[in-house]
Amino acid sequence: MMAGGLLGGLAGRAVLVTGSSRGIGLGIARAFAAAGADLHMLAEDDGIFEAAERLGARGHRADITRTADLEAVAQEIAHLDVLVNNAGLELVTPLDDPSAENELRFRRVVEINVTGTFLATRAFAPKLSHGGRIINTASIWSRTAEPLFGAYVASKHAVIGLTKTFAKELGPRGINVNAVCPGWVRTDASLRSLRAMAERTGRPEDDLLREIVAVQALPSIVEKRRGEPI
Amino acid sequence: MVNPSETLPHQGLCIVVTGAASGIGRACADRLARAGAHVVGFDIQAMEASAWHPVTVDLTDEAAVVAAMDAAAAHLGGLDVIVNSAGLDLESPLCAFDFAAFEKMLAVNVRGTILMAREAARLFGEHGRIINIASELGYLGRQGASGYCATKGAILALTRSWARELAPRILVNAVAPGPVDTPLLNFAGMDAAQQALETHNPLRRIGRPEEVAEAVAFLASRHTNFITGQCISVDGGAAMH
Repeated sequence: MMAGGLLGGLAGRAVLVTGSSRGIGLGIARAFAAAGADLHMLAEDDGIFEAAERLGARGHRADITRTADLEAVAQEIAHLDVLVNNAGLELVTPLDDPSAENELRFRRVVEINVTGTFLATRAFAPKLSHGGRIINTASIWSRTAEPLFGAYVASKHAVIGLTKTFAKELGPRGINVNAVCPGWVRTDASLRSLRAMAERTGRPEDDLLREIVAVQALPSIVEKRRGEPI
Repeated sequence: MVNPSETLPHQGLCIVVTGAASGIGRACADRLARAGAHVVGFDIQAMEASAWHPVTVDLTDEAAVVAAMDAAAAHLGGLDVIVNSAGLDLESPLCAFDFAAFEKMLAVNVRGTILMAREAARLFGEHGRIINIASELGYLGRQGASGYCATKGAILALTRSWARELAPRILVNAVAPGPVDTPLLNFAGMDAAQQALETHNPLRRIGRPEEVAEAVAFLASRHTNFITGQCISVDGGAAMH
């Protein structure tokens, strides 16, 4: 049994992780890098190049809602064994906020999390062959809901819908499609959401966080160890 | 925070697997032993094994299970994980429901699982894992097999309840296989229509016991610490619950 255990067998496998400049995506990329994968990292910010360099990976700057960006990246990748659709956007979109900015936030969250997941999969699925894997980052909020997060919750429910649909479309080609639903993980995005919730509700962040983890999981566990990306 | 490259996920874990004589249970015992775990396999049938320690025990006999679990923990030098794989599939249509067969399935699939979990919870140290083998049929149901499906639905409910009740000391999860190439299924002996029914999933084939064992190994791993009350389907995408 080689070191790395369950992650054994990934040495030399070509893996693309989207949204991997920080947060959960960066954690996923680190695990693949540690397992010796031939790693491609994609994000829309310049930070992706520094993050990729640190992990000995190839960095690709692209917006997953832009087909031209995705096609340019696809031309640089000959073959993939694993595609991790992790890129996503989490913003508050309260029902009682009539501003144009709120509408724009709603549209952008849906565009990135739903349309972007579709476009990235459409662009990269041809690189996968029999035995290939697609893994979508969904969310605990793919199963439950949270006030103020209509766009995000709906988009993550949609990611489950895409996962099931892609599984049926690509299954006959021997490609497995699954999703992972993380609970509350400490990332820049989730801390930003927590701040936004505190501003909107006038309640302390600690109280809100306690409430979120209490309803999504087992209180006795989350008190002891709160999820962090590896 | 554990660095996966530094600690082996199963080395030295003390594990009891039920239904270890054949099929999925056997694949789990083999997989975990190969990864460096110390494994005791329970089955009602006598069995041979070189990589792990076989014990013949009837899961419907409470006193025998208590004694066998004490002996297993003593033999292993502790207990970290149990895999509840033993199960019976005796089918009958509702209008000719075979209650005697149903009682047998309840005794093994449900009561046997509860007994094993109770004893494991008593014997676990600071941490423990319970992994139950459910079935895609617990989600889908199947005509003519309602009794079996009910016992597998019960496994899902037990898994969720124990995950809440035993947290944070013990993590409780399940794996729901689809049709798997075992002597019990006898895929080669089926007619074409039956084979088509069993392979009606996106991957268009039945599974191998080793593929179920891989999901069990994932849930048993030292590195899998933030998952409880879940069920992983290993069914080629048949259920997608």
